[in-house]
Amino acid sequence: MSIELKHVAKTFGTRPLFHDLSFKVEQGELHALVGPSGEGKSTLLGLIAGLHAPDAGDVLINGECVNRLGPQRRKVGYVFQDYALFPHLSAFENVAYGLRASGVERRRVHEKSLHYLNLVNLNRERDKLPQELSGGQKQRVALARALATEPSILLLDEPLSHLDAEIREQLQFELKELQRKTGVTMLLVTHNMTEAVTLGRRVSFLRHGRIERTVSTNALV
Amino acid sequence: METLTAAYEKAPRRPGVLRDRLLRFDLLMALLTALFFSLILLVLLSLVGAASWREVIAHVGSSRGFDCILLSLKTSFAVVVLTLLLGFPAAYILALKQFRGKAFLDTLLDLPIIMPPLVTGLCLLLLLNQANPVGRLLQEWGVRLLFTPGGIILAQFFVAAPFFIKTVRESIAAIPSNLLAASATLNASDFYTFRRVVLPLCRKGACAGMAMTWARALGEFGATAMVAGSIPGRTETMTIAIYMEAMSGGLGNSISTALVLVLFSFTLLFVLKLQAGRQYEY
Repeated sequence: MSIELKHVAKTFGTRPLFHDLSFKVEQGELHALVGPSGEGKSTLLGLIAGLHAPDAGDVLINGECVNRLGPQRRKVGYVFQDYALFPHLSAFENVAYGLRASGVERRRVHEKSLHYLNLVNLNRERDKLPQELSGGQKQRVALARALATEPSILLLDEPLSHLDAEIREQLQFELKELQRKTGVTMLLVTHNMTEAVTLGRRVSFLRHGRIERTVSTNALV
Repeated sequence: METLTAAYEKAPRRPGVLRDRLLRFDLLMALLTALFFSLILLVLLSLVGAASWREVIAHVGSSRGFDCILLSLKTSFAVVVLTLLLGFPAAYILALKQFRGKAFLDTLLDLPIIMPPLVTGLCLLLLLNQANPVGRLLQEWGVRLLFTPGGIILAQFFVAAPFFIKTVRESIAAIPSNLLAASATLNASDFYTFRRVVLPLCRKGACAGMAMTWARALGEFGATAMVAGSIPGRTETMTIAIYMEAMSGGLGNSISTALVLVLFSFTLLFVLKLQAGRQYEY
């Protein structure tokens, strides 16, 4: 599914974040959004996920305006910057959470949760609580949890920023592989240019509340 | 304290002097803490020392003693159930929702805590009186609260419930908003999120709030006396019995009831503290 923002405006308190922001991510694309801290990158993901409502303009998913749809009805997965894993649930229960909430049958919940934990190589850590996992493992649980509900779109908010270089490189590779295997549209937010170029097929630059430009990474390389 | 001392020990300048000062500071703090707990123990020991266990057992076995203990336990338990039913929604709304008039509701919640219980009792007496439309309406429906155990529950609830709501509200407000947002993006309804995320994560606060509410309800005196009076075997709670007995020269019975009350409150607080479970790190 494609994502499109048309002439979106958003103000937080008295601080205007976006003004007439327009932006499009094509279906099945891994798109990177780059911008300095405090530019509202996370808010932009929140607008797409339905966690915030735009003051003006439209958010379109697959061409349909979803401004009035809650996050539960947008079929958008979200990997939060600090992973937002439920601290009282094991890795397995975290992954199963969305499936149970969607009313998926018990046996299917078990199968699917194991499948996605397997996909991120975490089967052995399935019974551990988030605080017993390393940063990289938490990241993978967050990914598996978001993917388990089989969203059409996956939003990733600085997913690799807390990780050390070696794990970051490995997860960059895994993310690309996941995108290739699942075909899900991914929008990745980062302030790291190298990461954006390595992962994204196209990179958009957010500055002063607008998309300054969008370039293909082929052109950058 | 140990970490702080260790940090100072690493400091390059005059480590010996700083360490000595810190040790002296620790000693002073420990002494003041010991003084505080000694005061609590001293007060409690004065009660325990004055009690004769034979008298306590005899009084608990007597009809008046047993009735007031049972009534207090029943009404305070009812208050806890009522508080759980009405307190959780109030705590949830106050912690997570932004709306006009929230500050007013917040202040309103503090009022029963700061209001003298006698004044609370007087307000309830006026509300439930036949001269008041609410009182008349209840009377028409056949609901009698004045000078009944129902009145005791109402008075205790009014005084004790805010403790639960305030504690649980703080616990819910401490849950990072991104956990709730994550739940929403995982197709969870608000109710599902409440059941599977909010409730488990505020368990510690809820247990503490429940313990405080229960103990406060058990110990309530002023409002209860105003609303329910002191009819032995009908509206005489433990606290009222303690007062009535002491005022009428039955100090032994008064001490016995007080001891039961203190023992029960302490056990309750201790057990609920153990049940509270772990505090999760976010």
